[in-house]
Amino acid sequence: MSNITRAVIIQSKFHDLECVFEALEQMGVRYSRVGTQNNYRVDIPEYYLRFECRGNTVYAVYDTENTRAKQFIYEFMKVYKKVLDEKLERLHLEELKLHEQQVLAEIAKQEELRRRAQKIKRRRLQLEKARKREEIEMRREIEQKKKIIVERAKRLGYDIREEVHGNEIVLVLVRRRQVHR
Amino acid sequence: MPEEKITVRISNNGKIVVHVTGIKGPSCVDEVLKLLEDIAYVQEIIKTDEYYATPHITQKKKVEVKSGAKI
Repeated sequence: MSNITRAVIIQSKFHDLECVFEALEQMGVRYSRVGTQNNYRVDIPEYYLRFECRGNTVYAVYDTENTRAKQFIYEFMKVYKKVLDEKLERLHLEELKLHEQQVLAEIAKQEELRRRAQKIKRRRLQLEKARKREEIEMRREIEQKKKIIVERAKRLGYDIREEVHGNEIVLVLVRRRQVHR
Repeated sequence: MPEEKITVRISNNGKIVVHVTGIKGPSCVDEVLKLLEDIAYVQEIIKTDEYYATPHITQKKKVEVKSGAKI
């Protein structure tokens, strides 16, 4: 006599309470909840089993000889897994979306900073250019005025000596005066 | 022969400082004004003791070049 046996190991513990209840809802099972907020049980009389909830962990409690209960747990496992996988996928997508938004916000921020830096640089270059032009014009102006002073000094009879000391032009005007007695 | 000497120092920022020695009395101011007329704005004239002395007079003038400025 031979046979082919198919079996499956069924879970006895589930670690996400929210998914447990969502799976039960999806399966359309009637259940009742008894106990306190953190320590309670969920009775499913139809299948002769209960879930005992301690914190976020849910223990399936049933008679191991009870095939109906085992079959239910087996079906429950599949729905629970689907619920958990979908939830995980949803959260993963949400995370990606948020990350994308963060990246876009960062790019926008960087772009704004780049624009501000460009604006400041443009203004600085504009001012530097203006200052440079003014310095050149001032040098030209000084040169022109110096020539006028030299011409006037000549007309007034001065001997002129021009020297340059660092950033300074020095005109030494000397005139010998005749003394009348 | 006495020497009349005017030293004109022009900085690259347009400041002018004029020292006059050897010219008697108020004419030393006139002499400077003849040189700087129409070309600079006179900010101050500092008269030293020599300004009031005879025969040698020392005067210091400090002016700034401003385009189109009148004295």
